[in-house]
Amino acid sequence: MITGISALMAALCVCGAALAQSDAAPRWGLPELMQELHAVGSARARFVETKYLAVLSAPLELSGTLTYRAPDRLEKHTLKPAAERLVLEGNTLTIEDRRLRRSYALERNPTMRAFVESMRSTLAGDLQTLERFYAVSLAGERDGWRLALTPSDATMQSFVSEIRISGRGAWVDTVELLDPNGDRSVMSISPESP
Amino acid sequence: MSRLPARWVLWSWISALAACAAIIAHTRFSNDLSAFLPRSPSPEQQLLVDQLRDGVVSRLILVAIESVEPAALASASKRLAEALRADPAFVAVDNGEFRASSSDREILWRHRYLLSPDTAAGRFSAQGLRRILEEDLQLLASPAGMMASRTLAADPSGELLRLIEQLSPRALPATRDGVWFSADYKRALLVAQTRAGASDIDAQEAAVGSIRAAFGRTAASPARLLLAGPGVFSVLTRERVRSDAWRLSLVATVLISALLLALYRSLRVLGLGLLPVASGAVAGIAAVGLGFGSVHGITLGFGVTLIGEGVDYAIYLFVQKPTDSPPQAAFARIWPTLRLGVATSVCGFSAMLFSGFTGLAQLGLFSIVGLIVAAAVTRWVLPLLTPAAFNVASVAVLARRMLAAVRAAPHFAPVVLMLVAAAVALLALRPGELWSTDLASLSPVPQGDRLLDQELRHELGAPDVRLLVVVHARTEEGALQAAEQVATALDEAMRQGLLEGFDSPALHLPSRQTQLARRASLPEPQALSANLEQAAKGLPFRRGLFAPFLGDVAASRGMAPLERKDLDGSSLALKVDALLVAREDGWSAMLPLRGVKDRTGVARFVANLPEIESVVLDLKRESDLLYRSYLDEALKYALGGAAAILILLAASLRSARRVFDVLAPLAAAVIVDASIFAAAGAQLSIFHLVGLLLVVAVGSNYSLFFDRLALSSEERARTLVSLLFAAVSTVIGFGVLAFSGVTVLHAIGGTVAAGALLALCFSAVLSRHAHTF
Repeated sequence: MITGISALMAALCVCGAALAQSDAAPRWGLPELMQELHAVGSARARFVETKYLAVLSAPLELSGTLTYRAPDRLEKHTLKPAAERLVLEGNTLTIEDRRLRRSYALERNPTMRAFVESMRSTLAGDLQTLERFYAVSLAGERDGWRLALTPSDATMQSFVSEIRISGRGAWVDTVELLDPNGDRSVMSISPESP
Repeated sequence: MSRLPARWVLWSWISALAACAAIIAHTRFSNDLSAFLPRSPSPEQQLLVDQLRDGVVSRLILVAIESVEPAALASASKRLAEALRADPAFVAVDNGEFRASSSDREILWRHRYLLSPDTAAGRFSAQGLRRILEEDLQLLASPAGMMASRTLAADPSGELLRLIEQLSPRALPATRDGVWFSADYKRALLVAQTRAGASDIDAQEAAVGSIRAAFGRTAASPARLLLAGPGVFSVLTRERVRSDAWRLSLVATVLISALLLALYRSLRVLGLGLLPVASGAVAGIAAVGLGFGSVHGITLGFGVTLIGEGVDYAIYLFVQKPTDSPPQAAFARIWPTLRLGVATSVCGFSAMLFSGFTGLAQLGLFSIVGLIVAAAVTRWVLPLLTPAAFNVASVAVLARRMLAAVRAAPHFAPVVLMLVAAAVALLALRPGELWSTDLASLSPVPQGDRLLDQELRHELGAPDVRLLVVVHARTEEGALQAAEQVATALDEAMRQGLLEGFDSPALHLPSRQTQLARRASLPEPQALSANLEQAAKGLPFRRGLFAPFLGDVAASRGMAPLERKDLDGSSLALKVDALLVAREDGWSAMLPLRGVKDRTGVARFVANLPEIESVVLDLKRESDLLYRSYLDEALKYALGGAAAILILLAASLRSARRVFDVLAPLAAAVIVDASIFAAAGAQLSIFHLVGLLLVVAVGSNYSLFFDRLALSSEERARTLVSLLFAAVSTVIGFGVLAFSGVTVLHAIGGTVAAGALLALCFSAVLSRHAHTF
């Protein structure tokens, strides 16, 4: 089907936005959002992530690219302030920086799994997996929605109190992570400039 | 014989048995590899046996629960672990629940600067701290950043994380609902460490029983419990050997009894037939108990087999007793032959007495005493108890056919020669070693169980220790210091890629010397504070953030070094106790090695520390070596026994030709017997050797009876029938064992059954007198 051709991707996004306006169905909800997200074959974007940490006097800012390919590959390539590459594929998470490359088997690291599924299952429109780890609630409308994910696992709850994801149509705009100790990180995602 | 000596004989027999029973009651029975130990074992061998007997690896029971859905597995695991933790038979029960155990964390956190190998001069200098803070900033930016920010203020250099990593097994099992699972979530996993060593089979049996009972109480069907580990296997093995030996012995007893009952037609005589061998066994155990202080299980098993010949003595007596004369009359003719037969066997086994292996020496003593007593009971006690009128009536009928067969036997001599030639060729040309040198060949643990053990070990990341460095010192502190020096050498070997890693008690409890040195390297509070200020310049850390760090370093500077007793109640204590043990003459520290690529290379690094008393121990290789030298010694002494037999026969028969006549059938039987197993593709083990020794022992009686020609035709007929029944009962008794799935029973049973049959046939075929029958 559709593979990682960015032009096609951009077209799809535009189509999605267009469809949203022309085809505003009366009963729009979580299943419909997930279906729409599920239909996306691949996507590429730029991100800017700002971390507000109590230990620092100023927020940390990171930026780079995000690449998604259905059904299960997600890559976060941080370019600034230091290069780091995170690749999630199937059940393996690989983290690589200048010095070393480590791989983690997700089935052996349930907390890590829960963490990465917040992003991957959302992009894949995989509600079943998402609900295995989180209580999911949706607010807003198709043109401007907000998902709130609350971890169901106690260990996970001690690290993340909530994950907020917002977007329009099949596009994810921001991912916000709330730490129970008050720390917070916000990632804004924008289409890659041509 | 007058009445008085008869009574005297019976009384002395009974009181001797009672005395033996009293000795046996005070005899210790041991059940471990020490039977294979030479009398003066090398330090490696002693360590090996200690490790296998009581070492920490020997005390692990791997537990899996399966067959229900994951949520039910997790709660079953929790309930089982809770029940077992309350059981004093277990030192520790781990199912993942207490992974970041609070007492461990507490100890590591409090003593982190004395425990961390990174604590050294310069670590907390301005430059050192700058490097640490820059790394922290990177860490905060990474996905793990939010987690790392929690302990940053008190532990900027991440000592706790490093210490925890060092403590955890390399690959942790998967977890779900807080407990360990296999990767596919089909099995919940637990590890229990028993208080008793694997060699204490009774205690292990009790522990296995407790686990099963606790599981029965806490889990609902259809959940299934799987157990593996050295202790579990020794329990299973004993159960299997017992139940097989019991079941098959019962079958054999019924068959032989039916056969002999048909022959004797007297229950009393049937019962009497068991007295010689039973008395022999009792006397044998008592003699070994007196001579060695304890009896190995293996001596008992092999010994009773070796004196199996004693069963035949009674058959010879009962069948060869002439009609209408007292039982003693039979001995006038058969005693010289029987005596020579007993002497032959005793000679054969006597060589083992001189072996440097206690196991073999015990076996020699047992079988010599056992056979002499069995023969003596046959000679002096049985005739007193046998009814004077007893007579085997059916001899005449049987004898006619047998005589015909025996007369025809010599025609088959060419066949025997061809068989022997083929057997020799087969043994000589067979590829590979004839004798198995793998200790595992003795293990009756079925393949399936061994696979389960490997699988669970893999999933649990449990140690499967094969190679370890053992260091020895007079004091606990000395052993820890030596372990630290070896660790430095091993670190270098790791850098060169000779191994992947190792564990050491000093990682969890550094020597006092090392802890004091680390303490001394921590900067004074003012200096540290100045260093930190300089290091943090220009970095976005909140001001005053690191006050807890400054406080903790200052506290560490006044802290007493961590001692073993401070670890009580934590899993660190288990770890240290497993790797650091008090011995008779000091302390030993064990450093298990992982992923060794070059054993000799690693050994060279360790040997570079001449001031340290250390050995690199390969448990598998060492135990195989131990078994191999035992087997070599047993073979050597078996050949020595053959030489002794030759001398004995030469002295008593005084004819080279007759010596040849007696020995040729035996040699032929042993060679053909061995080749049968070789042809089947099996490597021969110590069990086959014991079987072959018995073949020589029983077979020598056959060929001696054929050699010593009886005068009257009735006597010849009786001799033949008694030989036939002796051989048939041996074949039944041992042949039944050949159907056992347990290696030891199968090997001994098959060897003896086939060998006895061959020895009888060959004795007839090669007999010079057969045609005159």
